Amino acid sequence: MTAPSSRLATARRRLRVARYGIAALAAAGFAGGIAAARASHAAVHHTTASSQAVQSDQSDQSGSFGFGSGSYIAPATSAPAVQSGGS
Amino acid sequence: MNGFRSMGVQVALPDGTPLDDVRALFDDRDRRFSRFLPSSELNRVNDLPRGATMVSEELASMLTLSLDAARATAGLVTPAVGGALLAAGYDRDFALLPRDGVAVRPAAVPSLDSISLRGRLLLRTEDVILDLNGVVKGRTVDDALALVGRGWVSAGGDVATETPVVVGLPAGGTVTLQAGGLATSSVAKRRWGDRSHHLIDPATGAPSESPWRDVTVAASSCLVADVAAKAALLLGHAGPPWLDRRGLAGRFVAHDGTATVNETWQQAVPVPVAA
Repeated sequence: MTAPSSRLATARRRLRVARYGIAALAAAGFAGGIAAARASHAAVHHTTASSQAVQSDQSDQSGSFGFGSGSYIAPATSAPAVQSGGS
Repeated sequence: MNGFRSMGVQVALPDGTPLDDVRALFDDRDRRFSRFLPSSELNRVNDLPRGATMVSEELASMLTLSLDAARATAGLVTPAVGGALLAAGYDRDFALLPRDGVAVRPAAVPSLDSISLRGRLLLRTEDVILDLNGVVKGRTVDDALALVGRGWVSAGGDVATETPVVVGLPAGGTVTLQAGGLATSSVAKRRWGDRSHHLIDPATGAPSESPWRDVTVAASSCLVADVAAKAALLLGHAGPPWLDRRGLAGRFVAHDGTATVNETWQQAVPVPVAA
């Protein structure tokens, strides 16, 4: 059986390769997400029983984090393989 | 089930998918970023909650991501929430929390301006207890999928996939996640006492009093879905349009179990939502 440290090193190496491979695709998608987000920017005001108004500003794209764009869901046609219930 | 337990949740992958590398990744992240492991790097950093601290590249990378997510959500999903979580009683692994609860003592959540990172040098100008749970699990799910290169990965029901997968939803119903990620933020799971739960409203420093029990979001990755779901839950009734403005599909379950969806979700899945 492979020692845990060797397995982890292998996992880290494969992760670096995988991230490298998708970086170009991610950059193209991210740029599109920034353009879409800026085009649709609007202020958000929110009040609950306990919180103050929260302003969502032009920084919904920030550094390494972007919301992106696109539709990722469709009607289900079979039984679920996974249950999402929050954690 | 093909999976294992890590970060306090069940991690699952399709049958036949090798687990060793994924387990090593989750365990490494948990050891480094858990607030409940005394030896974690995060706890070593939090032992000295103010001033200048050198951190590892891994922690610097995750903290950078967390700070960027915080700015993108106007401070709603913030790594500065650790002190408030402790004040709310979430000072140990959830499985060890007494269910009869501790009185909630709201604690102010420090501003993001009190935290800065220059490479591996972390600077905190006031006491800031860091909590990175807003990004660690989602990011790890995405990284696990990149490792595996096929199929899907689920951690506690937060999913990343490269192939269509049918996902069961809170309060009933199902949806096909065609690609990307899906995550649910919930105040029902990690809950103790009458009103203590793990989703802190940064404006009050106390557990959120959102009208939503569960918020599910589908996005380009599990990380984005997870951050957006938390933000949308904390925003209350403003959550659905907030997601719509970002082109994100969201499903909202109220405390009485009734489910509604925002316009983006309705356009993609134009059927009545099962309550």
